[in-house]
Amino acid sequence: MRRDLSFTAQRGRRARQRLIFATILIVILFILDALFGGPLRLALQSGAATVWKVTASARNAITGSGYFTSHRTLAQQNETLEEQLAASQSDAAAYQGLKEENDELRAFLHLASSTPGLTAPIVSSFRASPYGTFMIGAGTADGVVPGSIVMSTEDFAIGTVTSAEVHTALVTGSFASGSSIDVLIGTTAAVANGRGGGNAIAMVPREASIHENDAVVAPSLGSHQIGIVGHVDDSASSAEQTVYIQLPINLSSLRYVYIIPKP
Amino acid sequence: MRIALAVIGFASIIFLPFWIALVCMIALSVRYRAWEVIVLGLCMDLIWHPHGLPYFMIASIIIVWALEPVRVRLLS
Repeated sequence: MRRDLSFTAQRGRRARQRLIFATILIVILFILDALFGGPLRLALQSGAATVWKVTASARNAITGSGYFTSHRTLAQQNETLEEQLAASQSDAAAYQGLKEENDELRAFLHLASSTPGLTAPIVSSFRASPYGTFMIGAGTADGVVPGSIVMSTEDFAIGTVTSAEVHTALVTGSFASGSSIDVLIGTTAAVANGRGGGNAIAMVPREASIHENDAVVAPSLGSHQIGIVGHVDDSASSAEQTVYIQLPINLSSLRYVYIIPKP
Repeated sequence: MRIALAVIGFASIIFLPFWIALVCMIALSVRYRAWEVIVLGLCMDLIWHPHGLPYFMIASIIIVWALEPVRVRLLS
């Protein structure tokens, strides 16, 4: 009994020592990575982008093939008919996917004709980052450098490149949580404080004439539009009015972005 | 259980909302002296944080060590 207790205590001590060692090691790793220009960061970002790309194509292949649809309904329907249906669905899904991709790329044509830049695929999830960041599949090899502006098909500046690797880059959303950016709402200058999820809040003087759906422009992002006014909270007792700004696009549905390199 | 939580945590860095990683980190810290929690925090910051203080890593260290008393009570 006493032997068991001493064994458990010994195991606990060892686990505790491992944890102390891991804590120190991780902190040292982080500091070294920062000191040497982020080789570990770049390797991890590149790896994450690759994993995302590989699994995304695998996911598309599985859902597009109709494999699960066939299995679910095999018990109820004729096998031959089901295979034909799956094949048709696969063709339709593939066609639809290509059509959407084509439409999205075509939407950048007007932007490309007026502003030099390049189209890049989004190679990460929008939901995974706690910092309102996402990755794109273009990097320094393509002329993407930190400070480059990232545009959506609808001509909204959705973010800026904050770090770039050879073939990938990290983009911080214009309204990332905790960020702030100088904006013009109509003719009124204000500071928009990001709240994440494509939302921001700005405080403007009460006398400013601001209405819902007014354009919000960011001079620091090439005077591109970064959102619209979603709601104005005008309290009679306050000297200021609260302007709720939103990005009127669904970021999760974006597959490509247009990058305007920093001059 | 420990491996499953760690795998979900690491997968959520790339595929799932970040709060799932946070839940896994807390769950791991409550039940185990899990060094994976700090590695998770480091990976999250290196992949997603552009610059500045590594909030997720700091949070992971705080979670791991702040939950030590709870864990000690659970493990005993």
